[in-house]
Amino acid sequence: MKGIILSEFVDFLEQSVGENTAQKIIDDSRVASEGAYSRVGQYDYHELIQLLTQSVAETEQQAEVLLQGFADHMFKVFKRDYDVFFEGTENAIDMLMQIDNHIHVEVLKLYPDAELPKFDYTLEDGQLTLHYESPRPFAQVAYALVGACLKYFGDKEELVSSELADDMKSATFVVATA
Amino acid sequence: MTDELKQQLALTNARAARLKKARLEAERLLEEKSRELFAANQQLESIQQNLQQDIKQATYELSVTNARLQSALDGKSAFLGQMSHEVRTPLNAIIGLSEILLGTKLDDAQYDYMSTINTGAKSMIVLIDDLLDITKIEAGRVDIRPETVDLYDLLRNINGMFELSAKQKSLQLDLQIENTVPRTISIDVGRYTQIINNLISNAIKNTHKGRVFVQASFKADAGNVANGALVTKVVDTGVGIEADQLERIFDAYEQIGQPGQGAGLGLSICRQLCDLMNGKISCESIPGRGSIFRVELPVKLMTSTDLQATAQARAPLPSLPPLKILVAEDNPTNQKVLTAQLAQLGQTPDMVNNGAEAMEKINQQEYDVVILDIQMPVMTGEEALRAIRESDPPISSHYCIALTASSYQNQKARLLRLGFDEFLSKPLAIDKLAEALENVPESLSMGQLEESSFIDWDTVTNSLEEGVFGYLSFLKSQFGDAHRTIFKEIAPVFLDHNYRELKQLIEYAQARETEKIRSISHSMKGAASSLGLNDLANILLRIENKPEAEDVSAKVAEVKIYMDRLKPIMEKELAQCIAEE
Repeated sequence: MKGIILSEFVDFLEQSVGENTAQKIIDDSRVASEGAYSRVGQYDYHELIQLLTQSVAETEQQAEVLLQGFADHMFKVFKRDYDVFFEGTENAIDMLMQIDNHIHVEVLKLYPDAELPKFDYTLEDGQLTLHYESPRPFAQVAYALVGACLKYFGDKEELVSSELADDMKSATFVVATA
Repeated sequence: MTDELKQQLALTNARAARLKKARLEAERLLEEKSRELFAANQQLESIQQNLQQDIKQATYELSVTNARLQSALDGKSAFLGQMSHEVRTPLNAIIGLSEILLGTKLDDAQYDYMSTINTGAKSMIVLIDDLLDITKIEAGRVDIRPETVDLYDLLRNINGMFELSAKQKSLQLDLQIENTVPRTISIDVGRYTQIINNLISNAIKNTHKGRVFVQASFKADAGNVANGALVTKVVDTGVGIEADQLERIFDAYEQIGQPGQGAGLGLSICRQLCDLMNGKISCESIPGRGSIFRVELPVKLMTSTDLQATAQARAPLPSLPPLKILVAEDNPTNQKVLTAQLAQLGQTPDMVNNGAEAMEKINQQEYDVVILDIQMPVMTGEEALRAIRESDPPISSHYCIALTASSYQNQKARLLRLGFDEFLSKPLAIDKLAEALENVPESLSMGQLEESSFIDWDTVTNSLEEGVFGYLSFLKSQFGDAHRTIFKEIAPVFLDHNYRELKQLIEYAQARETEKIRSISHSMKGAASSLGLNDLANILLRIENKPEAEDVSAKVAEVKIYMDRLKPIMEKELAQCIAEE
């Protein structure tokens, strides 16, 4: 997993629960890297699960709520650091359609070893069906990110339906203009 | 310190350690990435170098191919030139001999056949010219030369050329010139004729029933009354052209219609010529119904005075004084043609087979004109010319005309530079030949002169009788009964003036003032010619032509001897004339 996800998760934790609590979560989660994440590094994705689990335990918040907070945070970071991908996109459907055939293409140029999830889509009558598929069980993260995307673009579209596979390695989201 | 504080400190320390570790990790990754970048950069550079090498190699290979193609093209051009030369030689014979036969007594049918042979051979020349034209046009070597012409006559002549072929196919061939069309215009006649010929010839070829119709109209230029556009339409009721082929008919090497019906160059030449003349050509057609080819060319309106000036340049054959002509030509047919053509101009040439034989003849006697074919066995025309020019005078000063079947214009400039006085190309039209002979300087007629001496003094001294210098008979031929009166007027002036000029000439010759020698001998020559004193004029011309020659003083001395002998005879004549009154 790319370091940026993990380092931003730590940033998110520090911002939402404070530096010391965040450190405690890291220490208690016993992640192999000791939470010393570099954005450009590559880490075991289990560390995110460990950190999330420990955060839930420490803050007594629901995982979904935490993840949604993290996803909103990520979206702000994306906008701040990778504004180029926002150029010409006016709504969430535009943005979601760009993931596979633009954003991930560029990511792979910089990091040929990145293991990226797939985001296939079909667009019919203004309704977007987005299919998430990954070797890792992060359908919930994807769900949160789709939600963050909708929110970022002012909730002009809504999530009509979402289906997350039991193993969390795939999901289908249907987004339509509100 | 409380436990809580201790715990907070531990967390802060842990956080600091974590951040430091993250930083170190980031630096390590950065360095790794830098190395990767460096390696990638190296690889790129090497790829670039390989690419440059590849480009160099490809460029080299292309230039070699290009050179090979260019040489193949040059070869093709040379081959075309050579072929056209080979084909022109027999055609020259056909055109020349048929022209001569046309001038003899023939019954109507024979005259028709002979005209057809003549026209046919001329069309073949056109075909060959087409081939050369397309090569020249494509190489950008064609000039447009407008001249003043009677358009009505021109169109009638063009149409007339096709009457026979139309008749043979039972086609009606009509010409209609709208009355707005100006009669006298300026246009490149050769190119215009070529375009319209081509279109009519195609129309007849592709029409099996009905008519071919040539129509000329005129679009006046609103801004300038002296300009306008000549629109010539060639309409036929022939097979027509399919819509999908219409776009391609003006492309080079496209063959439209049935196979075997022409070289396919005609329409391409027409289009390229129209472009060169700033005009346009277009075609409308309905398959099975017929075609309309439309040519629009900008023209200048001229007056009939302009036309007369042009017409005078094409006057009937001039009557030439008898000239001593030597012709070197290896081809027996061409010899025959040239002999016949010269006979029409009242000339009897000496005919030899090559340059070497020509040199032999020239060394035996002097000629007024030497016509040298360029391509001859044993000794070529160029070699002969060089031998002539390198000889001593008077041999070196022969008037030499180059005769060549090569159609390349640059030949002309080259041959003139080489030392030829004139250039004629085959097929040789009789009027061109006449024009060239007319341009031979008259006073170069040296028939009466022996090669070793300028004047046959023995004859002069042996009969110091009236008329030995020929001036009286010359004046008689010019002025008839008045010649004695004229002589009386002219002779004293001539003697007085020429002696004064002779005195100056002798001085200038001693001082070797070439420009002055030239101008004074020129003036004296004119006076001598007007009295018919050709021998004297000849010596003076030689002086004028080569004032820097070593023997100029010797020639001037000859002039003095001549004058000294002439003077008493002329004075005696003069006294007689006065006494007779």
